[in-house]
Amino acid sequence: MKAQKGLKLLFDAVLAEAKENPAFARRIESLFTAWAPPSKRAPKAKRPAPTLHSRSPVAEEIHPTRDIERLGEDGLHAALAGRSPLELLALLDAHNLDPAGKMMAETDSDVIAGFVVAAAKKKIARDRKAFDY
Amino acid sequence: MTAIILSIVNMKGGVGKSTVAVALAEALSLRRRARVLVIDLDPQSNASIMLAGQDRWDGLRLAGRTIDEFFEARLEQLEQEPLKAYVLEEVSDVEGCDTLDLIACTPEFRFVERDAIARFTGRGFAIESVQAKLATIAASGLRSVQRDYDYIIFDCPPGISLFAECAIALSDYLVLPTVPDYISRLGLLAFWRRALKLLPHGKRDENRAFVLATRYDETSPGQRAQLGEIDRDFARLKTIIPYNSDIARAAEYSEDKRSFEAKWRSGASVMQALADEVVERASRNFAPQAGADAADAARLPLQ
Repeated sequence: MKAQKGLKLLFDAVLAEAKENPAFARRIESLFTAWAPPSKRAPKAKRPAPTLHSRSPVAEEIHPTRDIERLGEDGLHAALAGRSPLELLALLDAHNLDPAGKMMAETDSDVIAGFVVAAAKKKIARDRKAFDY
Repeated sequence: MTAIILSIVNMKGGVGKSTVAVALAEALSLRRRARVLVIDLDPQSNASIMLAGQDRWDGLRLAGRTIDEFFEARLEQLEQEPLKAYVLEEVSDVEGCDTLDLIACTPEFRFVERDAIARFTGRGFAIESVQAKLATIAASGLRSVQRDYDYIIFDCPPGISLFAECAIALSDYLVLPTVPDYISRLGLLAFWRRALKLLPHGKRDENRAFVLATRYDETSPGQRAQLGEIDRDFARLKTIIPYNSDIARAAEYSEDKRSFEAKWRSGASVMQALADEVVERASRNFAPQAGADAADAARLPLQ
């Protein structure tokens, strides 16, 4: 019973914070989006339990550092166009492109997409230097 | 009062030595306000890049402010500066981690050991003499920094390296990260005995060489069984580092500062527990040296 009480208090606190803090609410929403299965996937019972790093569909489809080399900067911008902020945040998270969480509260897709492209460029440049052993 | 010296060491690679060294250093600096110096002895330079970031590390490499240059200057009898001159201050991408310094390593460090062996054995010296020469250089170097820190952490290379042996010979304590599987435990049996023999006189004590279980998968019956075997043969830290993708991705340096929790995510609490346990274990053997002042004596346990 202690556990149930503790969980209730925890969920109440999370709900209250989400109500007061839009950035926190968006972050929570983005996690659920990352977890959410496409509608035509296997029946619920057969899916493994979701985890924090479950792959989101957009992270499966777009690989920023690979795609910027393959498609160029404009090509990556085009691939990111029309994606929702939540999808783009899930992409940043999956590829660890925003380790300090600078975009966490951002709601503008264009801003987040620009950040994805810039972070991908930076990561490629850094990795190239790393291989200069 | 001089620093407590810890070596993170294991003959086996891929067990998380650098990750443990970095997390431990950050937790000690941030949570206990301890002054910490990490000395990277691994030519893979992972701890250096994790703590300083690629750009600062490149700068150190170009400027010759690295551990390889320190040893090379002494072995080649070039102009010599104290080890202190090679310290990069305030590393780490964790906010508030401002008492953590680094002496970085580069891939060229592998040539320093190779060249030293070739030069001295070519002149008829035994390998033990080369080892003694390197140990003397390392010990004299440490003297210039030992009073500036509470903890000095050596991140040792895998394999049987002369530099790893030097670090052990200078250490108060060893932390031996180990994946609890059969092959790792076999290697540990041999390495642990060798490491104990290398510890300084008066410190060759089984309670100074702590095995740390890493990359642990509690759902694996095999790993659970091996953990029991480890407990039978070694002094193991109670803290266990689980297999965890959050810990792996924390290795990637962030140009923007972040909190300890944002960096280590679900691994933050276990890394904090590791630091607490290491401090607690170290305090059991801690005895202020003659001449140490009251402030020194009060240093441990750090609360």
